[in-house]
Amino acid sequence: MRLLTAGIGLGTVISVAGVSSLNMAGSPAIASGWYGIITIAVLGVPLLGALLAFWASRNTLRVINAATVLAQLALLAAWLPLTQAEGTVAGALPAGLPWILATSVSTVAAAVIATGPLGGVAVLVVLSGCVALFRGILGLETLNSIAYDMHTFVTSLVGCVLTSALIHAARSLDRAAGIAVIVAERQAAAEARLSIQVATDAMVHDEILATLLLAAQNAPEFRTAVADQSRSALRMIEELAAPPTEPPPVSVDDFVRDAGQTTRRLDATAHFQKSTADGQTMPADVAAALHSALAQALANSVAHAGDGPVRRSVAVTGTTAGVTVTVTDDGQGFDPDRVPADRMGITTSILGRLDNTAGGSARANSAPGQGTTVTLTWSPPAPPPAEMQSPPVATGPYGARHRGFDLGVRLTVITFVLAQAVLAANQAVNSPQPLPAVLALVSIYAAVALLGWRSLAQPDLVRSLAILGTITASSAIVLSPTLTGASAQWDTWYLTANSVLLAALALRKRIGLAWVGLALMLVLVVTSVLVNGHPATDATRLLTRPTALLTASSVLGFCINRMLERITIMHAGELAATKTLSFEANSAHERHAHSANLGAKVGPLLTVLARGEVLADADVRECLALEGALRDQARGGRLVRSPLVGATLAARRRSIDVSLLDDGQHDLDDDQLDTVLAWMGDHLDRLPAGSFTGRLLPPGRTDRATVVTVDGGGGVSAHSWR
Amino acid sequence: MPHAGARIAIVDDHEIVILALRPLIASSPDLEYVGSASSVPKLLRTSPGADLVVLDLNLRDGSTPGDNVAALREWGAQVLAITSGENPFLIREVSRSDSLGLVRKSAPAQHILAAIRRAARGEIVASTEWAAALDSDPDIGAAPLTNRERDVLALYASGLGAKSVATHLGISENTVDDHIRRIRAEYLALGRPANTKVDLYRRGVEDGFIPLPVKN
Repeated sequence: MRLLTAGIGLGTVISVAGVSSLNMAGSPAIASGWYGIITIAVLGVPLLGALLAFWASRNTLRVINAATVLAQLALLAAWLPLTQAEGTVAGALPAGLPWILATSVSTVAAAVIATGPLGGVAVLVVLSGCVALFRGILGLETLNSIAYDMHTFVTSLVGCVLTSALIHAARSLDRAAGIAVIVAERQAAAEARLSIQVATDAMVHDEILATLLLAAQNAPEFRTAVADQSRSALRMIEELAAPPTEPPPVSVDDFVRDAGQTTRRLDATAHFQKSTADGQTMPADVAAALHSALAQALANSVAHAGDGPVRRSVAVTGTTAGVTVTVTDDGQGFDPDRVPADRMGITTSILGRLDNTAGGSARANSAPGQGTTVTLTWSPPAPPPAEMQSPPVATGPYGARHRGFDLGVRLTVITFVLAQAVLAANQAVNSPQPLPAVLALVSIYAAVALLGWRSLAQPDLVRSLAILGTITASSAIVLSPTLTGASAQWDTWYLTANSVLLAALALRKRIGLAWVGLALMLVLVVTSVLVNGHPATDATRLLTRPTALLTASSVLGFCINRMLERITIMHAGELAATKTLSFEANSAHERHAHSANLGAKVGPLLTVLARGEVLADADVRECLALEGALRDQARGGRLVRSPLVGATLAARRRSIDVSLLDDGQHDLDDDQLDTVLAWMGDHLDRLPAGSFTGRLLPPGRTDRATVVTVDGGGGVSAHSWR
Repeated sequence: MPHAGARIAIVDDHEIVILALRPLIASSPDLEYVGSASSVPKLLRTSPGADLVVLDLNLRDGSTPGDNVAALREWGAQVLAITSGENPFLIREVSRSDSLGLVRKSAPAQHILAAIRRAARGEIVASTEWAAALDSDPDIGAAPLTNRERDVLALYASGLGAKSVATHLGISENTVDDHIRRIRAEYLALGRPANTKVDLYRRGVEDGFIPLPVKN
C-alpha cells in the first residue's frame, strides 16, 4: 500500500509532465492562470502521499488517496467552466481533453486503495464517462480517440485488478506473519514440555528394566537395593499415571494485556475495550486456547472483511461468570453455510481447540453485507458438561478468499475481448483493406484462449512460446504498408492490445518472455516507421503505453508472486506448528494411558520386590519375562503380536534370552506378517534353552526375516524367510 | 600394590546397574573397577582417570550419547555403551561417535563381562543390537562398504556372533574382525547427525519404533 501510494504520486506527476512536454511544447498550458494554480494544488495531493508514504499510518494514506481521487474528479468537473473562463482550451491533451484523463490508471489505483476494487471500477466508469462527455461537447470524437479511450479503459481496469490483488496479498502476508509469530511461541513452549516428558518416560522405563534385571539375579546382597528401587519405580509410575499437573492459573488481567497486544499486532486500528473484575483467574490452557482463537478470529477478519475502511473492535469482559472475547467488524460478512468444510483448515483446528476446552465455546455470526461477530467464551465448568460438543464453526470465508479477484479478472478479460472487437471493427470499416484488422483480432483472441483466465499459474514453456508467437504475429501487422502513420492509434490498436497480453504473461511468472515480446514489438514498430517513412515520434508514441504497462505489471506481478510464496511458506510453518501442538496433546494423552498400562503390567511384581524377600523361581522368571516384554515395546514393533507374544513369554519363562527386532518397513501385508510370526513362533517353541533373535529385515533384501537360535550347548542355527 | 588390569569406570544414573556391574568387573583379574558416577561431568570431576568407561546411553541429565562419548574420549578413556531400551536412534548416534561398541544390559552376565574385557583391550564390540541399528539405518547406503562388509553386518544383525559369521562366510574370525573395524570406521565417517532427543523421539515415532503417541 505504501509502495503503491508512492508510485501513484510519482506516476501522476511523471505522466502529467510527460503529457505536457510531449504534446504541449510551446503552449502556456498547465501553468497559466487559475487553472494552472488549481492544477498544481491538485497535483500536490498525490505528491504529498508519495512523500508521506513510508511514515504515515494506513488510514492517513487511505485519506490522502481518497483526496487525490476527489480533487481530480472535482478538477475534472470544473475543467470546462474554468478553461472557458481563461479563454483557451488550456491543459488539454492533444485530443483536446483535460490532462487528468491521462493519469486515469493512477487515479483508479488511488481509488482502489481508498475504497477497494468497486470504488476503483466506479471511478473508472466516471472517468470514461467524462471522456465521452467532453469529446461529445467539444466535438472531438475521432477514429483515434475511440481507440485511445478504449485502451485507457482496459489498461485502467487491469491496474484496478492488480492493485486490489497486491493489497490483498500484502494483507494476507501481514496476517500470516502475525499468526506465525504467535504460533511459533506456542510451539516453542510445546517442544520444551515434550522434551521433558520424553526424558521422564525413558527414565521410568530404564528404572524398571534395571530393577527387574537385578531382581532376577535373586542375590541376597542386592535384595535391599532391589526393594528400594522397586518402591521408587512404583512411585514414578504412580506419578506418571496421575493426571498431568496443571500449570498455575493465569490472571484475567494478564490475559487481557496479552489480548490487547495481539490485537494491536494484527490490526493497529482496531478498537480494544476491556472490562474486568479484580483478582479473577483462569486456567492456563483456557487462556492459551482463548488467545489462539482471538488471534485467528482477528486475522480472519483482517483478511476477509473486505477492502476499504472496516471498523473492527475487540471486547474482553472478565467476570466471576467467566471470560468473553468478542471480535466484531462491519465488513462484507459471509454466509456461514457456503464456506466449504475442507477449506477451513487451521481456522477449525484452533477454534475447535477452544470448543474442546472444558467450558469453552466459539461462535460466529455473519451474513453477507452485515459484518461478522465472533464470540469466544469461557465459563468455569461446574459439573463436567454432559452434552456433545457442537460442530466447529466457520469464522471467515476461506473458500471465497479470492472471489473479488477472480471476478475482477473475468470482468477484465470480457471487457478486453469486447473492446478489441470494437477496435477491430473501427479499423476494418475505416480502412481500405479490412484484412489486417481481422487477422489481428483473430490472433489476439487466439492468444487470449492460449493464456486462459481460470488459473494464475505459470504456463508451461511450449504454451508460453505459442502465446509469444501469436502476439508477435499480430504485432507484425504493423509492417503493413496500408498504415496511415502519424498518431495512428486507430490502425495500430493491436499493439496496445498485445501489450496487455504481454502484461498478463508477465503476471503469470513469464516476465522474461514478456520482455522478449516487447523487444520484438519494438523491432517491428521501428522497422515499420523506417520502411514507411513515418516520423520517429510515431515509434515513441506507439511504444510508450506498452512499455509502461509491461513495466508496471512486471513489478506488481513480481511483488505479488513473492508475497504469495512467502505466505505459502508461512502457512506451511503454521501447519507444522499446529501439528506439534496436536502431537503434544496426543502425546500427553497416550502417555497417560501407557503409564496406566505399565502400572497394571509391572505393578504387582514390583510390589512383591519392594518387600525385599527371597524370590521364588517363578518370580525370577517373571522378572525376566517382564523385562523382555518391556524391551520389545521399544524394539519389537510388529513382532509384538499374537501368536509370537505368547511364544516369547513362554520362552522367557524357560530363561531363554529372546530379542525381537523390527527393522522392516511396512512392506509386509497382514497375511505375510502372520506367516512370519507363526514361523518364528515355531522356532522359539522348539528351543529348550539358550538365546533367540528374530528380526524383520530392512527393505531391499532378498530375505524378509531371519531367526538365529543358540541352544544350551552353544549350537548355532540360522534360518531365513523370503 | 599396583594393579596390572585395565581401569574401568561406570557412568549410569541407576545405582542398581552399578551394583550389578561392579562385582562382575571385580571378578576378572585383568580388570580394575575405579569408580562410578551418575553423569559424565561428575565422573570427570571425581575420578583420577580410567582406561575404559562403561557408559549408559540414556542419562537423565539430558545429555546425548554423542556429547558424552566426545567428552570421555577427550579425557583419555575408551567408551563402551550399555543400553536397556535398544532405541536404535540412540544406538546409531553413539555409533557415529568414537565408541568401541555397545552391549545390552539384559545380556547374560558372562556376555557383558566378555564385552568389557574385549573393549578394555581396545577391540571393537559388535553386538546384535549395534549391528541391527546400523544395518537398518537408511543412511548406511551412503557408506562406501563392500558387499562382503554389508553381508557381515547383516549376519551380525541377525543375531550371529563373530565365530558363526566366519563359519557362515567361510572366512577366518580375524577377517570378520577386519570387516567390523572397517564398517565402524566408515559409519563413523558418515558424521554425527545433529539431533536433539525430541527429534530422535519423533523420528522413532514416525518410523513406528516407538509405540506412542498415536499419529493423527
